[in-house]
Amino acid sequence: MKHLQLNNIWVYYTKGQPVLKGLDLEVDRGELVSLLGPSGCGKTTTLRVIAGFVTPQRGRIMIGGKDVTKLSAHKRNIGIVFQSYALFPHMTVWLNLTYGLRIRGVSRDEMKKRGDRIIEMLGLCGFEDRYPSELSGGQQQRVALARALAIQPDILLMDEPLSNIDPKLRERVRTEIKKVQRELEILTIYVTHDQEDALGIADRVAVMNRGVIEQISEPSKIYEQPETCFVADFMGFENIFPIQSMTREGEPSVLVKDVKLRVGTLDRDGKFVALHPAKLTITRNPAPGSERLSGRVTDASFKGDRVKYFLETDIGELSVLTSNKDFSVGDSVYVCYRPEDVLVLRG
Amino acid sequence: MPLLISFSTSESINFPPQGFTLRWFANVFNYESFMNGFMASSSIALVSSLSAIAISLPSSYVLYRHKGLRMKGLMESLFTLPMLMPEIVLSYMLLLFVYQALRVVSLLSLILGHTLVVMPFGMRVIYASLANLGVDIEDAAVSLGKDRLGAFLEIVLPNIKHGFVGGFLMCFMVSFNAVSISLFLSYGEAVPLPIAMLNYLQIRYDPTLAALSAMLVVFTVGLSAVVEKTVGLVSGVR
Repeated sequence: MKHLQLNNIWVYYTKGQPVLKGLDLEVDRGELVSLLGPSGCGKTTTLRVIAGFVTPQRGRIMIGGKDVTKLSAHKRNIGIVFQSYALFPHMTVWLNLTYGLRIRGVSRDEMKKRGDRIIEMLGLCGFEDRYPSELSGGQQQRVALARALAIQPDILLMDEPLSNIDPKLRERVRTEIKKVQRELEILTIYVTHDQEDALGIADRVAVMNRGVIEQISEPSKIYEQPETCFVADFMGFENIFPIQSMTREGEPSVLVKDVKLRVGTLDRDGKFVALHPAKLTITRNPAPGSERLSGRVTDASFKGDRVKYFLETDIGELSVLTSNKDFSVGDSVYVCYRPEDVLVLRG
Repeated sequence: MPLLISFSTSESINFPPQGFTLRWFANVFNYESFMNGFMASSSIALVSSLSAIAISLPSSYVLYRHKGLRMKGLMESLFTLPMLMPEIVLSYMLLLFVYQALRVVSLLSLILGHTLVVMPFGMRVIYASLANLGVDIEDAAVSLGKDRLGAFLEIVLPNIKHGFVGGFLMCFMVSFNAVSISLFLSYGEAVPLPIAMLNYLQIRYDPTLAALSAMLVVFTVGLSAVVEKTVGLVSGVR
């Protein structure tokens, strides 16, 4: 049995407009799962449901095999790192850090031992007597993490922890968080709207849309094999087209705008196909036998080491991201694809 | 102007002032109605400000925590209405309702009226300091194992104490200066200072009032300075 289980969670803030629509999520001990989605998709609400700040109208939450659906937030033993860090301004770093331990009535010696260990782990030595306002954003974030971990929580929840960190430092902080999480083997739910953030840190990524999880799997699978239009779009598959019909006999293919597109496999029914801009190539002289579409360059935008071309083709507008910079607007070209890169989406 | 005139030796108010004396200042302290008026105004301001804060704290907390509350707009306007309504209209309504219909004594009706008038100011300041603080730190305390009430007392309250002090001082000043409400509701035993001043003006026209005004200016400016130091008037009113 998984350590954290959310079964069929429904949350309404206003009548008739559910924020979570029967959400299911199961997470193992020691696992880091990222909830990824645009604002309003319900990811923060999911976090607040786990924390106990929001009671779902329907559904069940189990932690460690115990039903905690009705348990108040302050009895759940869950550590939270807030987006705003939410440090107590009138307390020093040490008092912030040990607040949860004081509530639990931990002995002075034990408190010192645990506090010191966390302080060392997060590199906060020498900051114990400072007030939050005297710390940099990054340091505040570490204190927030330290405070959440000090209570030795069953679950760690993080709400957009990197959004207030300087973009240049994000990757380093993310690695630090991951390191601490691995070391403590703590079940962590990490909420973010940034796909790079989610793919970079999580063991599994759950892409959320309109109150449900659309797809949950390992980062590479989410990125390379999205199953729905929403996930594909979120992962940067800019070329998505509706399928007219599918052919499974012989060479599998689909029909899009009366044009036949070869696909790698057709093991499930699909409504759309998706082509990632980086998986397409442009050429003037296609190799014989290669799969291609003819088109005309309508626009080009420079992206540093690569160029994004927009082309008018028989199946509609296509965007192609390539390092080949030889083309200009108005050129007649061919767009080549490999059948295995044409993804069939279920909806 | 009143400051200059208040030092004048002339028996009536003249400009430019002539000579120099502190007689009018002494006069203020010797005139019983003024001292009683000051005490009345101060105690009315004190009690009404305290009650206003006592009402404002839970109300602004509820309004702040429960953003999706039904009738939130209605409640908000209810609390700000006394600030928007012409004070004279409000005073008249209070006279009709509190004094005549409820038959309460003048002092109590004064306190009720002043509480109503100053409450929006208290609300504003406390709401602003709550909003400034954010809900997260209370939730953080709860997640660390504190119950809601404990989190509010231990974490939220110490961090909005500036709002408290500022809100109180602001209420106090507004109450002290609320002339028309005092005008309508004061009868008999409780005569607030502004009314005592008006009464005095009907009898005499010497610089005593100028001296008193000068002292009130200093008093008000002093209080404003304290408010400014603690929360800041500008951010408080917004």
